[in-house]
Amino acid sequence: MITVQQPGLLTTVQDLGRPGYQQYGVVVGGALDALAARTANLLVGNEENAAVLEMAQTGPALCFSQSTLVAWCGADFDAQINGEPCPRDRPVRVAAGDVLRFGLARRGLRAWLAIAGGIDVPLVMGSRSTYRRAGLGGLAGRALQGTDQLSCGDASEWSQQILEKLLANGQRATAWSVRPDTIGRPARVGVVRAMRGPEWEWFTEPAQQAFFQATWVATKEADRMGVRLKGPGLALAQPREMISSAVNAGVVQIPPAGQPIVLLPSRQSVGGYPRLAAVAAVDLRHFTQLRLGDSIRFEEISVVGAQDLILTQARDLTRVRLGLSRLLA
Amino acid sequence: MVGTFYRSPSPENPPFIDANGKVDEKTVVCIIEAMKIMNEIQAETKGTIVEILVESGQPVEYGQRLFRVKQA
Repeated sequence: MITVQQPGLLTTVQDLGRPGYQQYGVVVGGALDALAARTANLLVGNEENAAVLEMAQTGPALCFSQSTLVAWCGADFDAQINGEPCPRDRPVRVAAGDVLRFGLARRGLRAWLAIAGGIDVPLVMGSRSTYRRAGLGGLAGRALQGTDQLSCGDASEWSQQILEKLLANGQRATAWSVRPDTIGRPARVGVVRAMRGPEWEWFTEPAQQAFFQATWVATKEADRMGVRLKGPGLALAQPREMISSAVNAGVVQIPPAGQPIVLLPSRQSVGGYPRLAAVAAVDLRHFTQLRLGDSIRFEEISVVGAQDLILTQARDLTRVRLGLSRLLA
Repeated sequence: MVGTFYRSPSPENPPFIDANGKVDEKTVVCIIEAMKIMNEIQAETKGTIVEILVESGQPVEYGQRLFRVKQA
């Protein structure tokens, strides 16, 4: 059992989302950075889809009633166990009575904490992800609150063996790590790769050029649904209305004011603004770390190029899985 | 090949240790990456780094010398 001593600013239970119900208007959602959530889960021997805690800006303080393995990935949070640093991107041993406390994010915005066995909340439409707007999934459809209690599933054998090894060596954490930012072919800092969208041709040539040349700044209008960016106004070649069409995470919509909105995993299922571009799936994670005033540039990539990035990431994740399984061989 | 040798935790970070740097048994001196797992390597001796024998990003073999250390 885990007792929530402090909930943090916005801590929710998330897995890899709730696909298959968009036809009924149910959003997919899930961990905003799927790669970070998957990596954290692998590091504690969980299924990659196990439920984790997603935190933003200020993390939670959690008291553990029994010893277990935890791992967190994402932004650079000040994380401590009983006042000692709790390192990122690796399995960490917690003992009964230990308090794991996440302070402020020093850089970036969000992090994902996996606990061996995964957070045990009921499956709703096949997922444990919290969707706050509809009040469904996760812990009663809401963010964590002080005095909440969380339970976890059974830890895997791998996880138990890593825990025993740490205990035998008197170590808090392993001397090895797996860093999500080294998996696949990451973009350069401050750059995200994007493809032309279905309504690309609707925009003026200066708007098309500006999109890939300008520096875009994150505004305060940012949540799990999307991030609104500020920069040069992007105009349509002529006034035009479109019939609402499917949108996916990463789609860059341009409302009439000409300022882009990048959609994130908790996006709606359809949208009525022209889709100028779409962020390469592997680079979407960068938008989940943008703080007010952070800037970003778009670099053009082909659809095939973006697919190649997904395959490279998948191949690297397979390597990680193999590498982790061999640790105990 | 055992893995890839890295002198710093990530490209943005300074190296763990430079020539003339002092180490003890527990000092982390490099990372060896294999299968995307970053293994932190400790000096396992006390002394001063005399020479770093491999470049960051270079593949390394079993038994390969990575550092020359003058023991204290």
